[in-house]
Amino acid sequence: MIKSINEILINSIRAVSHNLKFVILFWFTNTAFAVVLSVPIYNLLLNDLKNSLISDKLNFGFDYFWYLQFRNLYQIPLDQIPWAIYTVAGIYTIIQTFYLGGLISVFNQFNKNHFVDFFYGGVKYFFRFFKVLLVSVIFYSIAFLLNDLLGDLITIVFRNTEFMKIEFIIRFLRYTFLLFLIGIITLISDYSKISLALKDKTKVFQEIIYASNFIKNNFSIVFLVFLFIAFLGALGPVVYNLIVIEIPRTPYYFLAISFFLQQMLIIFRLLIRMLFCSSEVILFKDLAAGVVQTEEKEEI
Amino acid sequence: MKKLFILIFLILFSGILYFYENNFESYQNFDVQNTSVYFKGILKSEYDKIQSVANYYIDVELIPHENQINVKEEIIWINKTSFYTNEIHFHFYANAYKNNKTLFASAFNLEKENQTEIKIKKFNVDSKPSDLIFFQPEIPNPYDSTVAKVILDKFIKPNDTVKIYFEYSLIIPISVKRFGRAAGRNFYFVSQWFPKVGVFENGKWICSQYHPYLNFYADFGEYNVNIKVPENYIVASTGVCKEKIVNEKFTLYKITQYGVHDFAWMASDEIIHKKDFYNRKDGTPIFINAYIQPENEKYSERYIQCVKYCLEYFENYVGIYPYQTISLIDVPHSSASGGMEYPTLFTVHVNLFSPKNTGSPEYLTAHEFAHQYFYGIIANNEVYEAWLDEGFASYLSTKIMYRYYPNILENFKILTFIPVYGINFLSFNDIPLIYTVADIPIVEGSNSAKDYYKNLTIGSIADTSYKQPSRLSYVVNSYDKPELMLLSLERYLGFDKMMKILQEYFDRYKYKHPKSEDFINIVNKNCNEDISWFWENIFYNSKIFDYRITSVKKVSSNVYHVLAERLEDGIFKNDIALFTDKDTLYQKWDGKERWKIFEFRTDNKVIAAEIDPQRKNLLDINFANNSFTLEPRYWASISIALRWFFWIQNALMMLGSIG
Repeated sequence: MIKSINEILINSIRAVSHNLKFVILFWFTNTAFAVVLSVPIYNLLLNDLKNSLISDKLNFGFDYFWYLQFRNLYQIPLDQIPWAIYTVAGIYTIIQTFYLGGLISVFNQFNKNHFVDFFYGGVKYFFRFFKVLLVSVIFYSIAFLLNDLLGDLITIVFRNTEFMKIEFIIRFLRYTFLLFLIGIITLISDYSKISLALKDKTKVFQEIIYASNFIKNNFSIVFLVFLFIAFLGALGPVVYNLIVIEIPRTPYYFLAISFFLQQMLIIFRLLIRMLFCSSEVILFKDLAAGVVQTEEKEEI
Repeated sequence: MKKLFILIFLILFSGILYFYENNFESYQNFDVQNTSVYFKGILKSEYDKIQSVANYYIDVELIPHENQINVKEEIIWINKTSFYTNEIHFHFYANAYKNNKTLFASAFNLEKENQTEIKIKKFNVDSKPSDLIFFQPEIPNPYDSTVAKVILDKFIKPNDTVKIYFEYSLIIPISVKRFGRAAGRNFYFVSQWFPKVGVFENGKWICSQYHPYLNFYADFGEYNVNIKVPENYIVASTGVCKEKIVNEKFTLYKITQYGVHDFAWMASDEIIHKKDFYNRKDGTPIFINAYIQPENEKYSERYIQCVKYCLEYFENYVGIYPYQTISLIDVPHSSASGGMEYPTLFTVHVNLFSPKNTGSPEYLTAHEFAHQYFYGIIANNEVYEAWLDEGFASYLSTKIMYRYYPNILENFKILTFIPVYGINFLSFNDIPLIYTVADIPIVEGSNSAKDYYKNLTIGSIADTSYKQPSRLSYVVNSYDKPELMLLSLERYLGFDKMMKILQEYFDRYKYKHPKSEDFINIVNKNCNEDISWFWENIFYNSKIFDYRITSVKKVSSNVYHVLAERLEDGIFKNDIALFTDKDTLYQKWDGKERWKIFEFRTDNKVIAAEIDPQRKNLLDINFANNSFTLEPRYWASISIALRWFFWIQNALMMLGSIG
């Protein structure tokens, strides 16, 4: 039985590094979807700036007036962008669900990590995982609804008072609570999928309940590992921002450096996502394993 | 001899006491310094320039536990016109809050706690009881009783005087806008509270109903107001406090102000009073009173500094502030009285977190201060031509901001209160999904342009303000488009000439009721050319401006043809610039034709052509097509698209993580 977080993390990192090739697939998928949503914007920009001197100005700094005009002139296509993002994100999520099946398979069996194994796992668990996704979407919606209602309640309570600082603190707590709920739902969703895959079960609700109980019974270690990896993940953007702030906008090769760093950050975040998955698989395998009781005989 | 000694001793003692008192006072409290230049709260040098038409003598008592004021009001109205009248019209603006069907209530929901009305106990004209007739001069609404008139027995001849007496009580409701008390604190803001005489001009009474969003119009006069409040209450008001009587039960503030056209006051038992002063160039002081909520004390210095900057800017470029005091009231969070102007007083508010680069509360302070000139001193009819005060206040507050606070950055809020510098493109439930954190300076005019783009064509600045069909068209045509128009005019004429025009406008129309035409005439007089096209296109009509350089063609070795187009109906006189690797060539275009080809001759390498290269016309809806480069430019598009691409990658990862 693994006893320390340190051990879990080392094993998880080892599992991720053993399956590093899959990050290319994830990055490629992410990039492809982002391209779909970025090409229209690029075309709008090109239409606006191709023969404009503002293009030169924008190389040196942001022109807020131009930005307002751009948003106004292309209001109709730009208004469609959020819906396009949500639609593409929906498809992307389904593909991620497919990938997660593969990922859990390869993390489960250390030596079976060929792409064939990955896709086999993806196909095998897809429908089960999709059901979990639907359930988790319902729970996410409830969490956001709860968050909305709490927001309304705070507004009503503080509407006729002067306790702005207390209102701010409570709003902050509400936000933290939402993040906590998202974290818990994500954990339950992840462990349900792991449970379905590792135990090769098909009864989704049963495994969701099992996963919930599993998290409840091992809350401290499960949540601590989750938080630790989340913290590790947060370091990426911090380091990125510290570096990128020093990079000038021109000439072009600085843009190339920025782009390179951005993609490094994306890959880092994908690796963190893999780390979440591998740590959860390892934890589940370890903590959900049956313990054989040995009887000690008293020697006379 | 003994008596002589005693006399000398008494004189010396009195002298020492007087000297000490004066020194102590002047050290402790500078507001008793050098007030000799003022009479009744205004510079003596300005006193005779004011035509005092409506003079008010009011005794008011605040009873906090009943949220009520009891008022005795005497008005001396003088017919300073050459016309006769047998009527007097009054504003009863507190009646706007009478029920949920008034004209004002068409835009604001008035719950029971927000409702009130003036309960008249006595009404006399020239000491005889009279009857008021409530009516609606502009918009029929049987529930609206914000205007009343009295029919007199006889005609009032020019220069005759009428004495009017009211006795009434008024509950102070929880504020929904402007007048009222704060819900969470003992804070009473009392404005639009007393029956006020309308304006009799050109033989007609102008007395508007209380329209939602719109402001006021009244004649100048003298106000003597005695405000009685519980002993622990602080009062801030229009004018100067000439005497304060404190005893165990109450405090009585005796306030006077000459040369104003309204009176507002505030009473609170929980507010901090900060004093400071600004010295005019001639050394005379203006006393600054800042009344700050305890939790906002940290903003005191910023508030006061901003008022000083405003006073300095106006003195340098428009004219001197003539009154003895200027009072700023920071209203509590639960009050809806913030962001409003009254003579010698204005209200502001501040957010919980307001770092300097957000420009808050400075912009609001500068805007409300600017109304001291454009509303307070130059008293246009705000119901008919709101742009004359709101547009000028917006324009000048922008100028003040860019002079004294040039680093205002675009920001968005997270967790309702925390400003983050940058732009938020997409968020879900307070969670920013696609955003950029960066220092993005807000350029001059851009804030107004943002609103202007939402309403390009409905209504014009020249339209009667209360007849604008929507709140958006009112706001755009009173605040935003006028600001852009004045900024464009300044860019077209030059800053110095624009300020000269403002000075002349101020000098000629202070303490008067100018109309739009008066300002336009002054501008026309100061221009060396006919700029009727400017007013025709921007002021009288709602035309859209968009000029474009469509192409730059080399027709021979050193001849270039620049094709300029006018894409919309708005006409603006423009410069056309041709940029070469060594110099810039200019031509002028009156902008009337739909398109025109301009011929430039140069042996240098041509880079681009641009129409309106100095961005004089801030109403142009597309600056990007103002220029045409010979070589295509991809880099900015790629750069921004790549950033967008990265933000999308992140957003997808965040949204996709639920899978």
